Amino acid sequence: MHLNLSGTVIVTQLLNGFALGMLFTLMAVGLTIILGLMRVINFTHGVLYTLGAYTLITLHKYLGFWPILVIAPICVGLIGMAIEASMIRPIYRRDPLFTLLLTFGMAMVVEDVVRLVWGDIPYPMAAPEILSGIVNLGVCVFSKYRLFVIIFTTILLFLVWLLLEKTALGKTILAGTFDREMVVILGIKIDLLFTLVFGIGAALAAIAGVLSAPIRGVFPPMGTDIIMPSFVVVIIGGMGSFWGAVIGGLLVGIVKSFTVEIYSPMADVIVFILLAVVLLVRPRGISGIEGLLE
Amino acid sequence: MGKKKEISRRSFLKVAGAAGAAITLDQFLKGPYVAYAGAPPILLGNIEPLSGPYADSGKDENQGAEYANNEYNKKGGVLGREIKMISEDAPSNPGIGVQKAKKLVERDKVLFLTGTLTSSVTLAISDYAWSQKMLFMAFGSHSDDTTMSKAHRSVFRTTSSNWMLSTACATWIAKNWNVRKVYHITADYTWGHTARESMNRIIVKKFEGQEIGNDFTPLGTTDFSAQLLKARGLKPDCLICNCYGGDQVNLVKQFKEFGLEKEMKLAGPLSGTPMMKGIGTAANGAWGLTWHSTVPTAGSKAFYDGLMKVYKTYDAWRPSYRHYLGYITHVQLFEAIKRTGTTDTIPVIKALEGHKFDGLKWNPSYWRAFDHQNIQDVIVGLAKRDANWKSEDDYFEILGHLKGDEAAPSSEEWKAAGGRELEPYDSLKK
Repeated sequence: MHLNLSGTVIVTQLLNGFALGMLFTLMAVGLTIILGLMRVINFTHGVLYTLGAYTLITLHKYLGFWPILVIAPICVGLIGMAIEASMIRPIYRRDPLFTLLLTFGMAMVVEDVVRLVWGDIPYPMAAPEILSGIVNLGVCVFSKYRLFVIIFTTILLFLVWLLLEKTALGKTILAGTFDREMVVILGIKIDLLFTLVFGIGAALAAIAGVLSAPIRGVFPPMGTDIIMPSFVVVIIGGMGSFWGAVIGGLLVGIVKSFTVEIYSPMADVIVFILLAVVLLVRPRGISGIEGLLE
Repeated sequence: MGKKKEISRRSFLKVAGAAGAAITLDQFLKGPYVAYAGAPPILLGNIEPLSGPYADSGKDENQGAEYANNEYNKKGGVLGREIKMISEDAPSNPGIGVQKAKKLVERDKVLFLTGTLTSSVTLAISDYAWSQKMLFMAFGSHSDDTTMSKAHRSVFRTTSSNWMLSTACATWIAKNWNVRKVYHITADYTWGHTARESMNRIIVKKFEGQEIGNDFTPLGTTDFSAQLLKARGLKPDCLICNCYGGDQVNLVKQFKEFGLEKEMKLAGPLSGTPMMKGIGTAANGAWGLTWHSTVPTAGSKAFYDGLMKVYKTYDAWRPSYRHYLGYITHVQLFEAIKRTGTTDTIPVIKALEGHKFDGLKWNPSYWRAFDHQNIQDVIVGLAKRDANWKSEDDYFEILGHLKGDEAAPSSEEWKAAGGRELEPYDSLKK
């Protein structure tokens, strides 16, 4: 087998890993905030991603691509809030295992509902005209659409970071992650906060779903395919940590890309080797929060 | 504890009686089979994936078979007996496939088994049919094993084998596109592996080309970007896609996304309408095909017109090669029964072996006696979806076809590749 690691190849695979990783990161950020604040291992996150993509294929012929990048997160965010308020809220005080089982079951139900409504057949989804094709970056050529995914998710994640770090709401969320009881004692309505955070997580998942549609197509089990790597990213990054999710996502994407280039049969295993190595060196992940689910 | 509700004997009898009456009445209203009074129908058991990811293709095969049944029933059946088909749904799971076959054989007492699409299900039912001394006509699974290492005296396979499809496609691209350096992306299971070997047999050995790279990808891979970028770096003449279904859809879409169509050709041993629906405007590449709706022979045109009248559901709808497989197989089975005048397994098998027939393509097709493979023209089609696209006819432009005998392995090649000699006829005696 030929090994070809020229500068062009390195830059292209780096970019490609970045694009792959950003989608994982978008999923992982939602998962990790929900996990940190509510101690909920949310398996519905995958189907919320699926619903985002199906919102796109349903409304695409009326509205085009761009408006749905706003509409899908709003719709799916509301669905997420409804799920949280109606089903997850009653069992917060139980063992985290309860919410895990509940969300796991719900993910299966929603996937089958998607099959009933939209059918089993994968839907074709092309990138918007302006982003189709390739762009010459000097050192290499790259897919315009994936470049857009990198830029868009970077901006989006920056906004999420601003929300968490620079607003009162974000401060409350972070405070809740560190010490939930204290937040309640200070008189903050934690139920409302939980619903809102769940909604934000769902909205991010929906955006990831819309963004991935032109790359991976739209089909009922798409959520199941992304949920495992997203959890791996959360664990590598450290549960409950925003920056952990970002670093974990990029690490997984880039390592995977380069493994294909160097020795492709390892491409799927390498992610789990990475997971094992990180956990051996840092049992809480790269920047995990002390005491979470411990 | 709530109060336990019991069904009284009286209410049970009421319900059972009403149900019985309803069933009798239903039978009465449908009326007896007047036209075939006295002669029992010829029962066929058809197994297809009617749900799950291959449901579309399964339904097409089922429709094609049904179309053949109706054609013969209109003419008074076969040997004066009506053709009746019982359909069972078996998604891509060999265990369920055998369960359904068992039900058809033991409960419904069917005389023949037909259908199937996924290789694993086909092979499982093939073994089961052999154990029951029953004739099984496999429609649509392409894996070589069915008529090679796991061939049975009581099993025939209609569609082209993987070997035939790969040979036709590889020969065409080597001759016409001058492809010598290839890069494979291969689905990591038997079908993918044999497809890659077959393509290399032509391009590397026969045309003295070179495999400059290969990536195995697990079934269900959604992102091929890293593999595609790697292939770009190595500059092959052609990228070979040994993937089917959703994997093929994503690979071809991403091939376009990364602009590879300007740098290399794309080809693959097998594609079809179901994939092209998903690929949409990213359509590209030369592919092996068993049949396409635009085959310009009189037979194909008549078949095409007939199906359009019965099954057309939307404007762009056209018959797919899955319809063709269901139809051809059932017609062949009925003709064999007619020639022998019986539905007994051994004479029908003997009537099929070596039989030459019009497969609605350029050259006649025939059932090869030593492996029970349907030897037929294999088509190479160019996938495209441009502004001129009007209907599913336009998914492929037929580039050419290879004669069945040139595409299929010779008896020596077949033996060398692990072909298993068919069992003696006597072992089928009941």
